[in-house]
Amino acid sequence: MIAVLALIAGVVLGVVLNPTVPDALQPYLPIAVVAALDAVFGGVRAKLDGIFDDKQFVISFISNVLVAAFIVYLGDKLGVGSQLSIGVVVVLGVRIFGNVAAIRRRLFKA
Amino acid sequence: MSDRGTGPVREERGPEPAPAAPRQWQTDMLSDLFRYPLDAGYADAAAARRKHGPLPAGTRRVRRIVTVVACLIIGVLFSVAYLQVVERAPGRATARAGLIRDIQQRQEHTDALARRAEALQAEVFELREEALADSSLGQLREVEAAAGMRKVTGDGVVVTMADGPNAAGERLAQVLDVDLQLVTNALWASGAEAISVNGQRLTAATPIRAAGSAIVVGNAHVISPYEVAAIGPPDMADRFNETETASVYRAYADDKQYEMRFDVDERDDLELPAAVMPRLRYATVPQPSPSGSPSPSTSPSGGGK
Repeated sequence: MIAVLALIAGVVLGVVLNPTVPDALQPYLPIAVVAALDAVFGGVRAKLDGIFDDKQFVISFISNVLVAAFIVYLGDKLGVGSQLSIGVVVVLGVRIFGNVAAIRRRLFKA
Repeated sequence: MSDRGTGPVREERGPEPAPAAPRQWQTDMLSDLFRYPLDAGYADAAAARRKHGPLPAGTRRVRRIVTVVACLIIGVLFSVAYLQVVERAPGRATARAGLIRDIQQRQEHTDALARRAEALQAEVFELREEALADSSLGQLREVEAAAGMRKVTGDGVVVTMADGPNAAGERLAQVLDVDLQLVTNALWASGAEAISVNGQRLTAATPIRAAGSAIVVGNAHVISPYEVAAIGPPDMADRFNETETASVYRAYADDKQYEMRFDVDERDDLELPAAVMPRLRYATVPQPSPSGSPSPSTSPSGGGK
């Protein structure tokens, strides 16, 4: 519950502060969002399964964002940036889908 | 976790596997990914809690705070990413608006310069008429009117041509520079004494040409609809209507494939502006000759042209 409130507070904070993102970091923003979404839905599912773990959640969020950003960075340097971005989005997208499906099954029994 | 994978490295596991056992990476990673979207760490942590009992309250509180901070960061990330996307969209619109403003400014500048050129030309006429004798003045006026260097008024015809409704995709429906050339030539042949296209007076040396997808008359861009105004004798309209060119374009206007607009109207009291004075190539300012009397000088090569 408190995590959800913190999430909402973060959104409000971001809107209020409206920080300017350095140009160098802008390409990583969308992929970081996808990685964060994966961590969030994983956490929600774990919560519903009754096995939520704070440490696991934080570490999965940080590592997801870092690895996703690193892969995009590497792809940019190798000249296959868009392809690797697609790879990251597909893998994380599959996981998000699976977790959302599990959440849905648990909430609606369907 | 239940037994995973169909990979070659099969692991013998019971229905409730010992969660503490080290996980193995298996080759069938993709099907694994589809089947277990949740990080395996959650199950491991839960199993560890079952085995060793809950963590001390202090550690739990610290970890909870870290989670809250992480959620805060995620929230900020979401809103920042959203704001970035929203911010970038109007950037394109402003660039477009800036370009349009630039074009309008340049157009106004061009118009102002054209007005200034016209005013200066009128001034030149005035000064010259003051300087010249009456007999040569009338002759000069006639020659100028014929050459397009003087504003003329009179009765004549206006030929209106416009692109067809599907000109954007169908090149045949567009009015091309050739069409304007043919129509103006037919008008000259029908006895026109002065012609202008969309207010651009034609001289003997005014080109009508295509520049990219636009048509340029002299130095000015003209756009559809094109109004070719011609001053000439009363029978000019009839003569023009009988020409091959007019009948061809009338057929184009009726053709479903082109649907080009082509109207010929007789109009009274047309006023055609003077053409912008072209740069003089051969005439030069007369130098006072040794005898003292200024004589008009034209270079020998240009005299015959």
